[in-house]
Amino acid sequence: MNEFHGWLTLTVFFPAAFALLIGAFVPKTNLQLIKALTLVGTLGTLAVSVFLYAQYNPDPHAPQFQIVDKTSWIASLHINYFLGMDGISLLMVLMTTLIFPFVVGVSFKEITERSREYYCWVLVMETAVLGVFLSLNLVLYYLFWEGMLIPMYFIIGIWGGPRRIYATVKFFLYTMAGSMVMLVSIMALYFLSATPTSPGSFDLPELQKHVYGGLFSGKQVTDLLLFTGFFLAFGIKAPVFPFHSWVPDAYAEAPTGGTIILIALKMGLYGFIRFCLPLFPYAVKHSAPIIITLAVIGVIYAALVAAMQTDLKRLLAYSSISHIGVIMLGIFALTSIGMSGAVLQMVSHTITTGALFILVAGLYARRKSYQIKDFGGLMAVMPMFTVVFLIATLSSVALPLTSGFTGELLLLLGSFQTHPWAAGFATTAAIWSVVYMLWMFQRVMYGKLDNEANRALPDMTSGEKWALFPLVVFIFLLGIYPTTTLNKLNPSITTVMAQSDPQYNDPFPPHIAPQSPKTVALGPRVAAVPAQPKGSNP
Amino acid sequence: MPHSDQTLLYAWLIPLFPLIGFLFNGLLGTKLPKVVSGGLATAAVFASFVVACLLFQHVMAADEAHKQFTVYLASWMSVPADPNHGIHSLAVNFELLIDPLSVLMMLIITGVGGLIHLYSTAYMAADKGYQRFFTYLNLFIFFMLLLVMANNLLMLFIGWEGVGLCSYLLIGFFYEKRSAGDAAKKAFIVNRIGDVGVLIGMFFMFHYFGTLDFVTGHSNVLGMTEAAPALVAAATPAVITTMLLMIFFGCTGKSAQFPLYTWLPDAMEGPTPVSALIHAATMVTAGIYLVSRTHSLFVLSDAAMITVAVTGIATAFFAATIGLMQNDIKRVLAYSTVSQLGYMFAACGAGVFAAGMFHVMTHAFFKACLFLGSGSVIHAVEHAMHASHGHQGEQNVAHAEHGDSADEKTGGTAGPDPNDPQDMRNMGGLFPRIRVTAVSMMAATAAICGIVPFAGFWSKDQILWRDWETLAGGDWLFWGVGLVTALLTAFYMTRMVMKTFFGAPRTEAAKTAHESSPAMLIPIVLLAIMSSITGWAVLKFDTFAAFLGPSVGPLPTTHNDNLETSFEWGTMIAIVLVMAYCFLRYRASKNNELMTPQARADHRGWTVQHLLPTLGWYNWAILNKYFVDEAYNFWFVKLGKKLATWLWRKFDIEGVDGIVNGVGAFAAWSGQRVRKAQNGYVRSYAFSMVVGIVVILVFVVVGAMGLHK
Repeated sequence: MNEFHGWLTLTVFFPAAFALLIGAFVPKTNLQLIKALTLVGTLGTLAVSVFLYAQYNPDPHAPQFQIVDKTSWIASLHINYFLGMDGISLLMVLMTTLIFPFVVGVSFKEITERSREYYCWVLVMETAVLGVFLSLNLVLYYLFWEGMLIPMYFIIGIWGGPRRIYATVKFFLYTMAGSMVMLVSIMALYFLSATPTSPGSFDLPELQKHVYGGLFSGKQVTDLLLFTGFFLAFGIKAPVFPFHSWVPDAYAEAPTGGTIILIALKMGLYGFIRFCLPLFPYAVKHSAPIIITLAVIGVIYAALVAAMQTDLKRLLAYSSISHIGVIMLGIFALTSIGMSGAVLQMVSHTITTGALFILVAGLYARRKSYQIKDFGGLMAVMPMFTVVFLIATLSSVALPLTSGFTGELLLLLGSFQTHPWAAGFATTAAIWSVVYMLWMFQRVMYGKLDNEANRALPDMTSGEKWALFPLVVFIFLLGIYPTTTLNKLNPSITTVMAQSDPQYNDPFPPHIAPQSPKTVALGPRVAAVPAQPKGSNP
Repeated sequence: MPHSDQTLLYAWLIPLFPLIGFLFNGLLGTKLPKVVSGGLATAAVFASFVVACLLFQHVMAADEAHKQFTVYLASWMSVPADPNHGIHSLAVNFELLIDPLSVLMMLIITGVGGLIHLYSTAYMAADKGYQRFFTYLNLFIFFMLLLVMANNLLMLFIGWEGVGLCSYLLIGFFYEKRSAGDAAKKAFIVNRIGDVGVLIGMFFMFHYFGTLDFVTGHSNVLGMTEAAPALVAAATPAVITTMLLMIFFGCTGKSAQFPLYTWLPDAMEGPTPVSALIHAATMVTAGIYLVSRTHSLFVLSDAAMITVAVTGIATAFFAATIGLMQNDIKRVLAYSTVSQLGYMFAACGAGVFAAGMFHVMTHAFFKACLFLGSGSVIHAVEHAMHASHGHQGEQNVAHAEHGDSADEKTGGTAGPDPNDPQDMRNMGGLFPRIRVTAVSMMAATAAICGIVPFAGFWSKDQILWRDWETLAGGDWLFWGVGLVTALLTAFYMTRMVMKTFFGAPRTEAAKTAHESSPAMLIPIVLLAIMSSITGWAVLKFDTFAAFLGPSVGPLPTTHNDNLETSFEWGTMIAIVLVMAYCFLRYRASKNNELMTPQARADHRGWTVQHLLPTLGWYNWAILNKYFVDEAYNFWFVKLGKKLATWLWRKFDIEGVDGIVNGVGAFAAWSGQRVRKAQNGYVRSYAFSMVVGIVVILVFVVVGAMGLHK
C-alpha cells in the first residue's frame, strides 16, 4: 500500500525549505539575498510542477491519481501521509506555483519593513496551499487547510492597509468557524467508516469505497449534515453568497501580494470537486437546487454591488464574488462540460484578477490611492499600461479568445444542459461584468486628464512589464489554445463525474432516489446520445 | 453536400493578413512613420481581397451541388460526452466555411473595407492617434472576417464579440471626449445584452444538435443546417421558436434594431471612416448574415419569422421618422442605416434571404459612399473653420476637437454650435466648392431612395415586392409600411442633400470650404459608381439570388409576377414626387446667407414641421427621438443605480455583513460575561472540570452506541 515517489512531497515542501533557509541563515539586513532566494524558491517550485505537468499522462485508462506519495504516518490512528495528483489538482498546483512568483515580484517594492518575515510567510503559505491541493488524507488535508490561516493572518495583519486588524480578525474567525464544522464532519466520516472488522479511514479513496458500499444507506440526515459541514468550510472560503462579506475587507486591506494569494485560494471550489462530490453524491444532488440558487443570486447581486464601488480593490473583490458564483453553478450543475469549465475558470480567474490587482497596485504606487475618482484620462500618459489594463479587463468580462471566455463559456454551456433557467440567469453576468468593468475602465483611462497629479505619471515600469506580460500571454494561451490543458483535465473530470453520480450503486430506496438522468430538462432532442448501460463503479 | 477541402487552406490567409497588420501596427505603434503604418494596414486588407477573389473563382467553378467547403485548422476546445447525463460531446474547431454567402461577405468586407482604409490614410492624416486608428481598423477587419467565415457558432461568436470590441475602441477613439467614452460604453453594453441572447440560443442548439457547426465539419454529427429537418420531429415548436428568438435578439443588438438600436446613433462619435465601415457597411449587417446563415432553422418557426419581419419593418419606419428631424449629417445617416437594416430583416422575415443579402451589398456601397462623402464634407467645413479661427497649427487634434453633442442635450431645440462641422445648419451651398463629393453623394442618395437605375432601386424593390408576395395575410400592411418608409427615406435624404450642398452658404466656413485629397475622393467615386451600376449593368438580382442559392436556399415562388412591374414603377414615381416636393419646398424656403447664430437657432432647419404644421406634439416627440433614450436611462440606468446602491449600502453592509459582525459582537459580549467564571477559585474550576468530563462521557457513550448500531 505504500507508494512513495517523492515528487509531490518535493513540490509541497520546496517553498517551505526555502523559508527555513531564509529564516535560519540569511541576516535580516540582506534584502537582496532574501528577495532572490524567495524568488528562486517559488520559481523552483514552478519548475517542478511544470515538469509534473509535462509528465502527466492524460490517458483515460490510467489510475485516477497517477502520481502518489503514500506512507503510514500516525499508525495508531490510521492516519496516512497521502498526497496524490490527478488532472484537476495538477492544474490547481500549476496555477498556484505560477502565481506565487508574481506574488513575490509585486512585493519587492511594496513591502518595506520586516521583509524577511514577510517572504518567509509567503513561502510557508505556498507550501500550505500546495498541500491542500494535493492531500488525499483528510487529517493531512485539514492540517494544511488550517495551516494556511497562520501565514495569511500575519500577511494581512502586519503588512495590510489601515483597517488591517479588522479585516484579519474577520477573515480568521470567519474561515475558522467554517473549518471547525468541517473538522466535525471529518471525524464523523472516520467513525462512520469503521466496521467491526476494520478501523475507520481518513483516506479519500478508501472513504469513497465506503460511500459506494452504502455508508449512508438509510442515513440521509447524517449524509446531509456531514455535507453541510464541508459545504460551510468550502462555501466561506470560496466564497459563496451569503458568506462573502469577509472578501471585500480582506482583499482591500491585504497588501497586493496577499490579495493575489487570496485570489489564488481556490481550495473552497476545489474542495467541492475533490471531496463533496465523491463523498456525498446524494446530498449534493439534493441540495444542488439550493446551492445553485445561491450561486446565481451571488452572480447578479455581487455584480450589481460591484458597479457602485468607488474603490478599485473593492470593485475587483465584488467582481470576484460574481465570477465565483458562475463557477459554483458549473460545479453543482453536475455536467462534465461545466466541471471542465469550472477548473479552467479557476485558473483563468486567478490569472486575470491577479493581473488586474497588479495593475491596480501599479496605480496605487503612482498615486497612493485606490479611489476611482482620483484617476481619469490616464490613457494619454500611460498608453501601454492602458492596453494591458484593457486586456485584463476584457478577459474579466469574458471576451472570446481570452481565458475568461473559455472558462465561462464551458461553465454556462454545461450548466445549461441540466439547469437551463439558472444558466440563463447566470449568462446575464456577461452584461453586468461589462457594466462595472468598462465603466471603471472609462473612469480611470478615458476622459480628460484633468487631475494635475496625474499629468506626469510614468508609463509601465520594467518591473510591471515583467509581472504583466507573462500573465497576458497566459490569458491568450488559455483563450486561444485551451486544448492541451483540457485534454489533461478531461479524463479526471470524467472520473469525478462518474463518482459523483448516485446511479452507480444507489444506496437509497427508489422513492427518494434522484430522477433518472435520462430525463432531460428541456425535452427531447434530435440525436439521442446512445444510452450507456448502468455501469459499476469504475 | 458540403465537404472538407484542405486544398483551400489558403483561405486562412484572408483573416491572417489583417491580423498581421494589426500586430505590426499595434506592437511597433508610433515608432512607424504614418505612411508605412497606414499603407501597410491598407495593403493587408487589399491582399485579403485578392485571396477572397481567388476563393470566389473557386466557388463559382464548383458544380452546383458542391459549393460549400470546410477548411479545418485546429481544435479549439473539446470535452468528451457524458452519456450518464445524456450530454453530447463538445468539439469546437477553428474551421472555415467557404460558400457563396461567406465569399460574398468576404468580398464586401475586404473590398469596401480596403477602400475605407485608403480613405482613412488621408482623412486621419492629421490625427495623433493615426497608428492606433489603423491598429483598431485592421483588428476589426480580422474579427469581421472570422465572423463571416466561421463554420460554427462559437467561432462566429469570436468575431461577433470581437467586432463589438473594435466598435467600442473606435467609437471611443477620441477618448478624451466624455461623450465618446459614454457612447463607446453604451455600444458595448447594448451589444452585450444582445450577445446574451446569442449565447443562450447557442446553448439551446448544442442541447438539441450536439454540435455548433453550421455544416458537417470535423465532428461526426450532422451540422445544424443538415440536422434542421430532424428538429421539427424532435422538438416542440415553442422550443424552436425560443431558440431562434434568442438568436434574433442578439441580431437586434448587433444590427441596431428595436429595442436595442439606441447605441448606433451615438456611435457616430467615432471617426467618420469608422461610421462608414463598421456602422454602415459591415458590422451592423452581421445580424442579417447570422439570420441568413441559420435560415434553415428560421424557416422552421413561423412565429420567429414573423417576429423578424415585424421587428424589421417597424424599425425601418420608426428610424426613418427620427431621421426626418436630425440636424447632424452623420446622425441622419445613422438613423437611415437603422432604417435600411430594418428593410433587410423584413426581407429575411419574408423568407427571401437573397433579397436581404442583396440589400446588404447595395447598402454597403451606397451607405459607405454617403458616409465617406459626409466625411469629406465635414473635413472640408472643419478645415475652413480651423482656418477661420486660426489654429491650423494644432491640427493633431483635428477631428477630436469639434463635437456634435452640444445640441443633443437640449433635444435639438437650441441653435447649432457654430463650431460644429457636422451640423448641417452650418453648411449650405457647398456644391460648387466640393463638386466631386457632391455628385458622388447625390448618386448614392439616388440609390438609397430607390431611383432607377441606381443600386438601391433593385434591392429595395425586391424587398417590397417580395414582402407583398410572401407575407400573405398582413400583405398590404407590410408592403404599405415599407412603401411609406421608402417615401420618408426619399424625403430625409433629399433634405440632407439640399441642406448640405444647395442654397446659400450659412457660415463663413461653408463659404470657404474646399475639396478633399484624391486618396479620399477615389474611394468615394468608386463606391458611387458601384452604387450606380449594381443591379442592372453588373450583378442583376436573379443572378445574385442564383449564386447565393446554395447558401440561403432558393427564392420562394411568386404568384402575381404581372404586378411586379407596376409595383416597381408606382413606388418609384411616388418617391420621385416626394423628392421633387422636398426640393421645391426647400428652394422656396427662407434661407438667408450667413445668418447669425441666433437666426440660425430660430430657423431650426427645414423639417417635417413645415409639412405637417398641425402636428406639434409629433414634432416634439420626433425631435426628442420618442424619448426612448430617456426612458432607458430612467428605467435601467437610474433605477439600476438606485437598486445597486441599496444592495450595497443597506443589504450588503448593513444586512449580510451586519449579521456577521453581529455574531462577532455577540461572541465578544458573551465572552465578557463568561470571563466572570474565571474567578481564580480552584473549587469552581474543579467543579467545571467534573461537569465537562461527565458531558463528554455521555456524548461518547451515546455516540458510540448510535454509530455501531
